[in-house]
Amino acid sequence: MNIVQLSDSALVTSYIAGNESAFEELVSRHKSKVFTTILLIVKDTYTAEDLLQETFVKAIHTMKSGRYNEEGKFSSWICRIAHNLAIDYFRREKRSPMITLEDGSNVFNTLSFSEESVESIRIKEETHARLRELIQQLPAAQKEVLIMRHYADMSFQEIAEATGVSINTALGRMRYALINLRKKMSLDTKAYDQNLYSE
Amino acid sequence: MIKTFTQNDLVQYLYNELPRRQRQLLEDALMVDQGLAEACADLLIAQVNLDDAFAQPSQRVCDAIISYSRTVSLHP
Repeated sequence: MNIVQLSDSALVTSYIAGNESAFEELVSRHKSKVFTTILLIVKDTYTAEDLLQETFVKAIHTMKSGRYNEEGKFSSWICRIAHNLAIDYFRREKRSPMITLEDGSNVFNTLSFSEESVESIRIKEETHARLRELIQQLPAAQKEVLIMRHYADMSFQEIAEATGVSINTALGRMRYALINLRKKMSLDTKAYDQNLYSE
Repeated sequence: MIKTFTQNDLVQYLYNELPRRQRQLLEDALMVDQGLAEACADLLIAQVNLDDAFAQPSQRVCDAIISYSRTVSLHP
């Protein structure tokens, strides 16, 4: 069977048995999710890349030493490692770093580079960065649940346990996060349109 | 009889965490309850937009992770 058709669980088994290509596929599948989870917490591209490496190094050690415990999904497991490392980093720093703009390397590393113009990639990147800024403006509890559920792929039950609240509270926070984000996006678009037409 | 659903049920529905039977009942309710359908649409739009925030790490970092894995040999 082609490696891209294998489930995460089958890839982990294959990797533990010594197939490095299986690990490459796992990295390819989950790098964006793990990276975004970290980036939304630490708000700095370079720090997020360092922590991404640290996350996968921990995962490599756990899997290769036979300590990987297949209880839940691989994606939830690795995102939880990433989330914990990012929170630890944030607490260590005890400050809120400035949001850094995406550097050019991300743009030039996009697979679709050859199919899209540099300008359209730039606009898309700016829109995505703006959305990440809007997420940063959410109340901390809502932002936390949103990152854990949407990007770190944790279930609401797992989030409730990790944050010490009831599942209904976790669901309520997620709902408000989505509603607030929708409002912010709507206001953001209006402000953008007004700027556009006033010129 | 149409079951009454809460806003939290909608969130669970959007994230595929609603049990199958309840999911079916909610989909039935969405067909007849305009308020519920509008609330669901609002949440769905925000949820879909969130996918735009996914960021990509540089290829250099991914290559470093993969080559590190090749150098590590731990035995259970």
